[in-house]
Parts: sequence; structure tokens; C-alpha cells
Amino acid sequence: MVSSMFWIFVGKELKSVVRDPKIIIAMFILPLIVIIILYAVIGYGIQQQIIQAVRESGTVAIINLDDNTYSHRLISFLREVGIETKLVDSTLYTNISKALEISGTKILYIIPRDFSENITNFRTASIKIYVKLGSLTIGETGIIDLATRLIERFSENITAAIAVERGIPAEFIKNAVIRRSYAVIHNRVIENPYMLSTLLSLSSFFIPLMILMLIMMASQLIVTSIAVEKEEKMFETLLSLPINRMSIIGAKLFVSVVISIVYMVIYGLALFSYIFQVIGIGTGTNTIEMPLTFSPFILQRDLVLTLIVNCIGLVIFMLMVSLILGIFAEDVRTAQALIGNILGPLVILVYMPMFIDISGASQTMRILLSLIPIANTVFIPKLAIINDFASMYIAALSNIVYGVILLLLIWRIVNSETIFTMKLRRFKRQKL
Amino acid sequence: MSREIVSVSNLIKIYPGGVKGADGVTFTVRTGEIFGLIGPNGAGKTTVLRIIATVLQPSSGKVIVAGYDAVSEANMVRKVISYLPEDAGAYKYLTGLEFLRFIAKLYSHRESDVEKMVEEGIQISGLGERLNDKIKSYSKGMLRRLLVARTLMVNPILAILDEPTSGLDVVNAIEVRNTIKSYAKKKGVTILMSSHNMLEVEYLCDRVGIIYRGKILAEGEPKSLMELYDAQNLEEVFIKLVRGITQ
Repeated sequence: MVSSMFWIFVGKELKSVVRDPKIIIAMFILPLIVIIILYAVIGYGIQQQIIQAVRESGTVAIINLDDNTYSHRLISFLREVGIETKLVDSTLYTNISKALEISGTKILYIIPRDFSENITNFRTASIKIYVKLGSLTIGETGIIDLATRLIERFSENITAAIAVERGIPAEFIKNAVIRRSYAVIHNRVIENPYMLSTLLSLSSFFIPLMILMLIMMASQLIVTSIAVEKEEKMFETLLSLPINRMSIIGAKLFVSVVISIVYMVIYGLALFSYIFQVIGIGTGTNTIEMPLTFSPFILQRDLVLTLIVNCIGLVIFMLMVSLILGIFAEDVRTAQALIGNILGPLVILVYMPMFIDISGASQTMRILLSLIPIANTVFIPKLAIINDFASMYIAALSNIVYGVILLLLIWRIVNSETIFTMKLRRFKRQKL
Repeated sequence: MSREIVSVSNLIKIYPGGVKGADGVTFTVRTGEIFGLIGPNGAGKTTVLRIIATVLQPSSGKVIVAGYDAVSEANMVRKVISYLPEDAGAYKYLTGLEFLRFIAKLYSHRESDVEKMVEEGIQISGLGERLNDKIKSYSKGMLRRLLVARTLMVNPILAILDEPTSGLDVVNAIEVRNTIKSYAKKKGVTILMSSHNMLEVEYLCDRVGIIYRGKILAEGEPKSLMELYDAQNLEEVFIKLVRGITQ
């Protein structure tokens, strides 16, 4: 019977969604405005951070084990394109962390002994690229991009030069120089920094944003659909009907979440194309090696599970917050104004942690940060990378705990007269 | 006829802020009768009806509906009542027919019962073809007729109607009154209604309770009350009772 009630309300909700302009406004227009602002702010932030990170990487360290014609040409090339080079003692090539520390740079190239000989003999030469990642912010993607691009440009440059010198068509000399890239994070060397940064971007940027979009849509829909009951003066009638009141709430939640998932996918795809094309993260990925194997470090099961649990908890928590606002708002405009006031700080809670370096924070501080809903979703991958699993698990579970507490509270409210008597009112300007 | 379907005893409702909505209200409603709770605006009629309809909970006192306690057995009470709030509305973007079907489905999951209720609703509303139009296009009178229909069509043991003709023009008010009266007679359903229109109550109700400042001042058949207080109509009865309190 409870299930049939649920579907009766689902049917009614869907009809309302299709026919009621107020819900259509909540579905399309408000989230669209918020998302356009959000995309613009985040896009600008990322752009600035990448510019800053690349500017800081204007100096590169080089360990030149080859010390021959083509390694000298590489150094000259780097200087010609405006990059300052610092030659580091070749004995440090076995201690990468120290080499980076001494040079004070974020990029280190190691040119192997046979570098010039290989190029001279038309064999592919290789260079090792080490990128020091510290803050694990999205801006560091730009450093990895810069480090690999410089070598790509040199490879193209040297290929063309050899072709001219030897009178051979350039097509016959492909990839004179290949590179092997590594990231150095807290004295640990990790393969595939590009993959690492992409996954970092995904888990600390795109996933929270997608969840934020889901929350924004679903919250708007849920508060509006509950407030519509009051505005259409059905609320009091519903409370006197022989139905499970939670089935009304459940049906509204279900419809809101299903519609929001569809919109999340659409807006998510728009975000991907915006970030990748306009901002330029990952441009030229087709020319960069993308190994099929992931680093076992980043893909550890715990991180994925933690993120999933955290995101589920976050959605539950935020939907419960929206439900409470919807239940108490006296009309649709109040409901939408209330949720609008919540979504502003919410955007900040997603936006700020993307650019915060937590690796230097104390354990207590990290635990406190992991207790902040929404922000903790962004922190999880960063906590995983610095091996702070305690904070990571707290971040994963805290949202669910908040959500369950609020659900129990809603349960009590819905089954008491408080649902009818308590009202949140919008501040209305007095007419003179 | 004499069995009590509603028993309200010493009902007190104090709202947050200390406002008293009901101050020791006691009355009974018998099976099959139309009982009118009458009094001026703010007398406590709606508060009492909301408590009987399980929307609000009393601060103290007891309310029994068809043998069920309105607080501890609220779910059972909701199964035997049908409540029409004074300021009720309907889903504007549904048609009248969709709305009646939606309500009927909440009372029964058997399609045959649902159809029967909807058929009944169509008859009671008297809206004919207009039931296929969206509710947002209805006049106030049409909406009220639809709402009375949705309240009565589910064949409740007790129908609670809060100011059923409030805000209606004369023609619509008469139609709604006639609908209530004829339905109650035809089905033998008990109706508990409130009104501040004492003439309306005189026409409709078998018995009345006069409520003022959260207290029942008198309870009985309109004719008996008029005789008792030597009054021409219920309005006069009310005036005499109120004067008795204020003097």
C-alpha cells in the first residue's frame, strides 16, 4: 500500500513538473543561472592558477648526464623560449627529491648519457621528466603540461633541424626525442603524472562539481515541489489523508533526483567541454602518451569507495537540508529564496578547497576539514595522496551521518504538527 | 442515531506564544447527524476541527473519532474521516477529473472502488464537462464544489467541513449547502462543519455547538436553543450568550 501511494504521488509529481511553470523555472532557469556563474568563476580561477603555476615554472632544473651536442642544443632551446635553466650536479640523478630541493624548481629534466649518440644514429632518444607536485591543486596540471610540451617542441624542432642537415624528409624521422614523465609527491616518485593530474582533476574537481550540480537541481526541485503544496493549499488536506506522509516526501525526492541526474549529465557534459576546450586543460592530449595502466597508487580501491560513500552521503545530506527548508517555507518564492541562500555558500565550499593545499596542515586540522560537508568531497583525493586515511574515512562517513540525523529529524517533523505550524517567511520590504 | 461518532472532552490547545485556540472544549457528534460548530472568526472553530482531523495535536484533553483516539491512533482516524479545510485548494495543473481520481486512489487501490468514487465525485460536483479542464481555469465556486465533491465522494464515516461556503456568492453557497444536505441524507454520513454564518447552520444542521473564545457556550438542536434563549434565530442566541459572558 505504501509503495502504491508512492507511485501515485510520483505520477502526480511528474504531471506537475511537465505542466507547472514554477517547477520548470526551478528546473531550468535558476540552476542555469547558478551554473553559468559557477562555471565562469571556476574557469577564471583555474585559468589564473594555471598561469601562476606555469609562471612559477619559468625555471627548470637539468641533470645533464650526456653533456654533448644535442643535450646542449636542448638547453639552448629552452633558453631561447624564455625558460631559465639550472644545471644540477649529475651525481644527484639517483636522488630526485634532493635535486629538486636544491634547484628550487618544480621541473627537472634528466638527459641520459646516450642522448646525443642516439639522435646522431637516428635512434630515439629519451628524457626523463620529473614534476614536483606539492599542493595537489588543479593548477599543477599546467606545470605537467608545460614540462611535457617543452620537450615535445624540442623534439619537433630537432627533428626538423636534422632533416634539413641530412637532407632527409622530416616524416622519416619521427619522434627524435621521447619522454618519460614522473611526479614527485612528498618524496615519492609516481609514474604517469599526467594521468595522476587528470584523475586528481576528476576526483577533486569534476566529481564534486557534478555532485554540486545534482544537488542544486534536486534541491531547487524538492523545495519548490513541497512549497507548491502549500501555495496550492493542498498541504493541510494532505496531512489529513490516510497516507504515509513519508511516501509523499519520498515521491518528491525520487522525481527530483531522477530529473536532476538527467540534468547533471547534460550540464556535466557542457562543463567538460567548457573546461577542456575554453580553459585548455589537457589540450593536446592526443600528442601526449596516455598509458593504459593506471598507477596502483591513485586507483586504490579505498579512494574510489571513499569517494562514492562521501558523494552518496553528500547528496543525502543536502537533500535533507532542502527538504527541511521546503517543509517550513511558506510559499514557493520563500522556498526558492532560502535554497538560493544555501547554494551560494555551497559553491564557495566546493570552490575554495580546490585551491587549498592541505598537505602541510596538522592531523587535527585535516580531521576538522574532513568534517566539513561538501568541502570534504574535494579533500578526499588530496587526503589519499598524502596517506591520511583516518581523515579520508571521516570525510567519507561524516556526510552520511549528517544525512541520517537530518532524515530522523524530518521523520519526526513530518509525523508531528510541527510540519503544519512552523513556517519560514521571506523578508519582505515594507511598502511605504 | 444516538451513537457518538465524535467525542471531544475538555480540549485545550495552546499555540506557541501562548495563544489559546481551544480552552476546554467539550461536545459530541452523533452518528448520521450534521453538527455545526458556530461562532465568530477567531472563536476556535478551525483549531477544534484541525485537531479532530489529526492535523494539529491538542495540548490536553481527549478527542475520540469512531472509537479511535485522534492522537495515539491518528492513522486510524484518517481512514474514517474526510476533511475539507476552509482555505483548501487543488492542484491547478491537473484537470478536475484527474484530481478526483488522484484523491480516490489514495483511499483505495482497487480500480473498481476508485471508479465508483470518481463517479460519485462527478455527480456531487455537478461540474460536467468542465471536469476535463485544468483546475486553474475554475472559478472560486467551481473549485469549492470540486473540493466538496472530493471530500464526500470517498464515503467517509465522518466528513469535516470547515466553513464550506466561505467566500462564495449566494448562488454557489446555496448549491454547496444543498449538495451537503442531500448527500448527508442520501448516504447517512455524519457531517461536522463549522461556520460563522448562523443562518446557514440553522438551515443545514441537526445540532449545533456555539463556540466563543475557545469555549463551547451551548450545544443542542437549533430549535431547542432558540426556545431556551427565547430567540428568533441562532444569531440572537449567540448574542445573548456572549452578553452573558461579557457582562
